[in-house]
Amino acid sequence: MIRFIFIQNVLGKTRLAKYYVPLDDSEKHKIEYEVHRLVSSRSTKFANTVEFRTHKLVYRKYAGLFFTLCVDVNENELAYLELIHLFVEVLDHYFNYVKEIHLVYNFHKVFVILDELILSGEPQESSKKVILERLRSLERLE
Amino acid sequence: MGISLFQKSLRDMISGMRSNRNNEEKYIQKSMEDIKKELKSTDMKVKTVALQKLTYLNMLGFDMSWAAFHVVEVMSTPKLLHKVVGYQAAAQSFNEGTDVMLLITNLLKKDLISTNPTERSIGLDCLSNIVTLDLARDLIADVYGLLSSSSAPCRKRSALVLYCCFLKYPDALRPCFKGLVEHLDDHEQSVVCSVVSVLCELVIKHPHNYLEMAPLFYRLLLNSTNNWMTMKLLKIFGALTPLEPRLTKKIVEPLKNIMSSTMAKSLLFDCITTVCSGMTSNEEIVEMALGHLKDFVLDSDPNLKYLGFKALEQFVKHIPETVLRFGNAALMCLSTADPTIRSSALRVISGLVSKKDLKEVIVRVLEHIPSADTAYRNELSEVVLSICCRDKYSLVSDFSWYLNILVELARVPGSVHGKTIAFQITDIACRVEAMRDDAVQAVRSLLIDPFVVEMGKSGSIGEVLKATAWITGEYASFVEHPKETIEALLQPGILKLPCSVQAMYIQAILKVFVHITNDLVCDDDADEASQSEKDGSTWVEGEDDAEEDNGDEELDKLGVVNELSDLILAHVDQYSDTPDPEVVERMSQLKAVLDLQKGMDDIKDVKDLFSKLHGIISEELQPISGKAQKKVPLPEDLQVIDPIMEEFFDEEFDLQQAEEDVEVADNQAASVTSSRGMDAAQALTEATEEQKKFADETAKNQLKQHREKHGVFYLSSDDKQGAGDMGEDDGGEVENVSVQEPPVDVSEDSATKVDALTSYRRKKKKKKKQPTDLVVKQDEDVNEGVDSPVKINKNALDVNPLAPLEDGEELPSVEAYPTSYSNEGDMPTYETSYEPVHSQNTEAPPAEKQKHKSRRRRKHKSRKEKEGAPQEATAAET
Repeated sequence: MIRFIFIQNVLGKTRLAKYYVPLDDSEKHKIEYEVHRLVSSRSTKFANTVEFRTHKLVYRKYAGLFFTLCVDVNENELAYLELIHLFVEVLDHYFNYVKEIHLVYNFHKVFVILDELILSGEPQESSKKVILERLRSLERLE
Repeated sequence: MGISLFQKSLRDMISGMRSNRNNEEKYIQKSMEDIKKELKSTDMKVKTVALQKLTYLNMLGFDMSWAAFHVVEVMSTPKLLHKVVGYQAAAQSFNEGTDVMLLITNLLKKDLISTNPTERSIGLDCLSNIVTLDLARDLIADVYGLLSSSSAPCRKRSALVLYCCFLKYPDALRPCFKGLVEHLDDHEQSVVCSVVSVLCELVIKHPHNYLEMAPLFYRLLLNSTNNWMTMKLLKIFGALTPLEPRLTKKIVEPLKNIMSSTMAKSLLFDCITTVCSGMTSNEEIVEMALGHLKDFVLDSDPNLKYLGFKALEQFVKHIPETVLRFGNAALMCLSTADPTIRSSALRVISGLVSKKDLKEVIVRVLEHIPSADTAYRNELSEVVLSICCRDKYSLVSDFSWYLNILVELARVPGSVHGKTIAFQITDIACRVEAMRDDAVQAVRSLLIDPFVVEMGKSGSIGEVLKATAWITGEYASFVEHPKETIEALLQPGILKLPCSVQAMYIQAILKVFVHITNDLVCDDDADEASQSEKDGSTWVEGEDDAEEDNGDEELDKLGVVNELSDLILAHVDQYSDTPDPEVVERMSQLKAVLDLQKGMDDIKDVKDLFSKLHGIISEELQPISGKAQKKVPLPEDLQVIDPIMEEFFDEEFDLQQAEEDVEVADNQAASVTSSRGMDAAQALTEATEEQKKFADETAKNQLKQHREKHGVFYLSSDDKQGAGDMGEDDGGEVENVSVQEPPVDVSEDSATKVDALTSYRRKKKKKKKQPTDLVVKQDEDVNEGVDSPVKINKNALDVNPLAPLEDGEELPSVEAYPTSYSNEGDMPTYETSYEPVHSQNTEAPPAEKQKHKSRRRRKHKSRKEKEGAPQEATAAET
């Protein structure tokens, strides 16, 4: 089960934070800070997993952004790396060559996209085509 | 109204923030104030934009809990665009403590049963984020209904949302399970995949409940086309195979096929994990897995390396012999810069070591210490220490070598393992007689090195020095250069060490001195004298005492002893300023002995004194077994059970009871989930027979009155005993909670108390003659007696979902919650939402009172109207 997903830039600003477990606000900020410190201090040559409290972080760096997932210890990291990649691909397709600025100005849309991908801590849909179709139909409503 | 004519949109606000980077705080404050004003406006569009901005600020870290009510307002608008914003805000900011949660149940319900698929999906999404026990209980029936919707995405979502509802409201698992499992045959792969995900999470936590479903999973595994689903199924099998070895044989074939055919490394890795979790008995597949693992470990991609080692860790636990070939690769990886890989490799190594290659492995591990940083050094030291002391040093064959290793480890700067090292050195010296000599020699280097003493000021090496001093003192017979040793024990640097260490040093000085003097002076024992020559000890610098004649010899010896005592006395005064009482005590002891000796001119007195002292200190200290105390027989005349003073106790007071009470008091501090704790809590809640009878009677009377008043809601009384047996749970075992309050008062309890009510009836397994009523169901729909909400997840989901449902176990039906509102007009308003409970009691029929939901604002419908509602609901559904 996924516990939270962050998109943070190299300076530590959180561009997106979605939690699938209930947490206090102060806890949330502490975690965001710790995760950023942990993830940004690791060199690119290291493995993309690191232990964090009693769970595990799976992360990947795309341009200036860190995409971090927190999962249980027994989960398969490679699968979640693939999930992160799928997320990035969907964002890319939706925003047409997504950049950080897109995420800043359209955070509510990013949340919608994320909800299509992950629901209640589990991956919901693994086909990029299906997700993009759904997003288009949602857009038409607007 | 004070709102500026042009409301800033989200985009404007963000641009504003970015351009005002210098005074961002001020800008944000201003925006917050604007938002507060805008939220109070009546125009929904203005409200929505304001809420969107607020959500953004919340993501940056600003509190938005004050706006909870406005969120609900925006959520209840019919316009989809605005609704989405409201739901997002709710998903982000609502939590268990939000008061207005009570208001949104109805909103969500309307959305879940709406005909518009988008509304349904956003309702489901929101629910998955904010689900609480109340929401789960009220909406589970609707979510379950959506499972049979015609739209595939809807089914997919509702399956996943069901899972998070189960986490909060475990009683729903059994009724929903059958329906959930039916969808494993769904023709849409994505729906099947979602159901499998849910089942995977459930199976992993409590695999023994799902063994019967293995054939179903097997079929799915064979037909699966989706990698994600295959991975989840493999996880399921990984959890099931340890419990059912026959499964191993069955899945070997499909697993082999997958492993050889797949291109996806992630799937391959999952196969390997499945193999190592339950299938290690099957050699063929283990070989295959290990072959792949070799590729992983030797791959240059750090991710694959790490995964390879992680899987090896698992293998090492079960079948260390087969993994020996990886030892080399693991040792090589110790030098990588990546800490995750290193730690994993270390763990693998610690499982692979055998007696033969222990030396080699340890030496190679220690090679990395000089170049490592502090944390890694500590890790390496820890691994070495733990490997060697495993099973009481079963792997170590050469203890003198190991003692040297320990001393080396003690010298590592920044080490935190001083205590362990100290313990191990002392342990070995104590237990292994042959090693005492080596121990003394080994620690000597630590003793005389002033640099080590310097390090001992801070850091754990102080403990090692303490052990060093003790060993030197205890086994002073092996000390080769006693004068040097005493000088080392008297170093001025000692003063900076912790007081306990200082005390040990002083004691060691005393012991060594007594020993030397005894050896020197009591030379009747020719062996001792020759031994001191053999050791090459030079009592007297440069002089050869063997050639002096006896009288001179004796004088010389006395002279030497005096010299030593002078030396000690000169230095020992440096301790006189210390505040620690033990140090002062020992120092004065030492001084007393020395003064005594100085006062003696006759060597015979000296001999006398020191032989006695020597006798005292040379008594051997042996380790004692932990069970030794129990073997000591209690003396016959020892009375511990009889009471000390009779008159304190009542006639009824039972000693048994007293013992139980003491136990209870002890156990109250213990974890509640321990079975002893449960028994203790049981003991607490158990009422005496009289109390029980009285409570029973009162309950029955009250129930009778209740029924007479509202007869239509109750079934025939004979098997209704369960209702009368309801009682409060004081935080203990479900079964034996005593009756204390009749059901009527239940509705006024807080929700948490209701949650803790027993499902007593279920335990008794009484058959109900008719389909159960609302009232009865309410009694059932409570959690099992688990105390804290956190533990609900772990224990309460441990039910067998495949057993047939009993009569009482049904989902709260859809009509359990009133839905017939005329829509817009009934938007919850702030004033009416918090009507005090008692004003509702008089109006509402007791059926509603029984539900804890009576707290909420509710237009009280009569029962007949509610019956009309489900027909509406079902009509809306289709």
